[in-house]
Amino acid sequence: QETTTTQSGSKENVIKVGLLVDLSGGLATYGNNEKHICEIAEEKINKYFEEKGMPYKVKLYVEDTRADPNICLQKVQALHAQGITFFLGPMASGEVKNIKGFINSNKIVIISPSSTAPPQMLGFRTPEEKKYVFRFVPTDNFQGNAIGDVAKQLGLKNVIVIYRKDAWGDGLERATVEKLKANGINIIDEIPYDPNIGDWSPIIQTTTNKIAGKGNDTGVIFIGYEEVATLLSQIDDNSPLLKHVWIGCDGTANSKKVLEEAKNKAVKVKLYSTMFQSETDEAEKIKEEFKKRGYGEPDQYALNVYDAFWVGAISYAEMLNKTGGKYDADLLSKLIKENTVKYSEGQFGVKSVTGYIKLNEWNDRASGNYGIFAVTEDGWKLVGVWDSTTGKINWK
Amino acid sequence: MSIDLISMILLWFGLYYIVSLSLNMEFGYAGIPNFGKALSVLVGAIAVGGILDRLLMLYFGIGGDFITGTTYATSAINNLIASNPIVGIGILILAIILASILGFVVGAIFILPSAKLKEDYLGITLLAISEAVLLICTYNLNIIGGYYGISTPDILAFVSGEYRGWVFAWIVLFIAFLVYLFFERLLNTPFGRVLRAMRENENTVKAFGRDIMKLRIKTMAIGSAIGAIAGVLYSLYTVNIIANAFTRVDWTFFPFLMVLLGGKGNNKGVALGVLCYVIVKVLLDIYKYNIKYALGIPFEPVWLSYMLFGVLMLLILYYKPSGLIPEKPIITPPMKKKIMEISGK
Repeated sequence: QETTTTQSGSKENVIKVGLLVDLSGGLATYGNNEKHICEIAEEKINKYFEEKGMPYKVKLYVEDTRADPNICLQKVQALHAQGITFFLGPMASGEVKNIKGFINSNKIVIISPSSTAPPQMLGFRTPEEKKYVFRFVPTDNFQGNAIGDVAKQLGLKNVIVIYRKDAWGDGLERATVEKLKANGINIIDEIPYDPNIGDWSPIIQTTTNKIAGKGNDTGVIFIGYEEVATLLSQIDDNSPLLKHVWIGCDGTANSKKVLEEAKNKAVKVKLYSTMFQSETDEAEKIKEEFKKRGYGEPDQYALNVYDAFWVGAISYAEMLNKTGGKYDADLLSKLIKENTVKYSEGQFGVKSVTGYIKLNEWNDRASGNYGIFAVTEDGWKLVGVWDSTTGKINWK
Repeated sequence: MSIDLISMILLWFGLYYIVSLSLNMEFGYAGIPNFGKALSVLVGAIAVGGILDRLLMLYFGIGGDFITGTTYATSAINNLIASNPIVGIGILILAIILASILGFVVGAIFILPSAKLKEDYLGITLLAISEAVLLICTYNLNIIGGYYGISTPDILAFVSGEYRGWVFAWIVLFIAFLVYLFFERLLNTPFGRVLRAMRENENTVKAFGRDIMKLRIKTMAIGSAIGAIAGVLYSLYTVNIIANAFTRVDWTFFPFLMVLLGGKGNNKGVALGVLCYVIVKVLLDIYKYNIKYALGIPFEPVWLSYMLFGVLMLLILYYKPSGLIPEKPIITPPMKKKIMEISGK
């Protein structure tokens, strides 16, 4: 670890934290939110360490991964070469999968706020293999159920599924289709698309053909990221596709890009989008501060990474204290597990913003309700909450 | 700056030097504009992810689908390597042999469709073939796991994570050095001289009875075999590969930049070009946000390196096409003797 000397002459150990976010790709809205909220967290954590008389200071190193598994790996390697062994992020499951081997081999610890593919889809066979990978978000097994139930309660009898052809998209599409069938909903077609897609016209044509002649009980389910904005913008204003309800997912919920590029069309189709939803009163304070700095409204994944930063920083400091300043990945992993509970219970004198963080044996969040957001003339609105224990939706 | 940064610079220097040396033979010596260089590196990844992983599945008796099965297989071999370092070295050597053979064959086949093409047309054809194969590997999950990616063995599973970067860097550098020795010897033989002649004037070479196509096939086969070694090393270093890691930007265009920057037609010049590129790229990557704030750059700084390297390429081509270290004539022993005689008079 680096050692710096402050004006007072005392020595402070710098805890380097790498932040892996998408700032210029398909998840840029969420990535920028996460970057901003981590800057806030950095200040608060350093203030906390100072007040507690702990000789540590966190320093944030941000990298733009563009939600691209290959670029993410390069960034992890670059930051690791700068002595960074603890990371917040990455955001996408495909990224986690691609860096999994590298972080296990090099004993790096990560906490992802938004990777949601089931552990097996990431290539983990046992919980032991995943001990360095934490995810403060429920897996898509939950979200698939949520989307399926939204479709059912919107009265849909038929759906066309358009999904992003990557490790994450495949997984959520599979989970969603499973629930749709269980809910007795007919799946007209399942249309995959290349994540690098620029011209949506073949898919628009196929979907238009399939939906022709169908009534209001037919909808479109979009499983992907903010590229849905480009898709919508390329649909003709008079297209029959805009006369049906669309359902999105956490990759589209609260997307600024949708509002900027295709708001009128999104309002027509509503684009009901599920997003893990778990906030405390403390979250309101953070949101106020976020807005005050001109950043807009933080999404759930930004709140997740805020909590992850706190748990990670406290655990890292505790590890350094126990080992006399040496990095120990196994100890850090163990402490994060323990401190997640303590932090959730407020034992450190600071409050969680995403409520109680319960981890399962895979170090993933063990449960979660999903907020349902829809596009209105006034932007994205929370219109309902899906309860993971009952499967019921409380519409607002 | 962290000292571990040096291990990263060394690692990338080694990887890119291997690729650039083979490109230097193809383009710098033989005049073949191989814009499909990325394919040879991808072949190395295929050898590891597509063949070696399957062999491991067979060895451990693991069935099931390819992606899941290889996860189990690599986990099993890693456990074995952790307690038997010699197994890790053996896997590395086996992977290199597999890749070299596959690269050799693919390189020989790769050039065949270009039998009647030259210069720009040849370059674009090779680029198109390379891109086509990359797309197939991306969307066919049974080659190297497509967009899912696939696990590869950790040949250094016995090394502490703390030192892994350094150990791997030295392995790569050692292999790069061997490749350098190989090319120095190969290209200072009559074969090397005839490649230069082919670059300068194909018709003259034909007039002396040489078969141009055969020379191209040999050159591409050897170059592709060596490029595949870099693909192996990269795949084993990252312990997970995904098809879009082998794009033309990273493994074709940047190697061209390094060869041209350092000086095509000589292997020491290429080393200088690679070193300059790697250092600039790594530092640019690490300090890009500092640069953004200092200069008030109005766009995301991740695009900075592409812009700067693009400009650098144009500047080299326009102002100093011979590179930092221009190539020199090959002085054979008879020529040396004659020069001594002349200067002696």
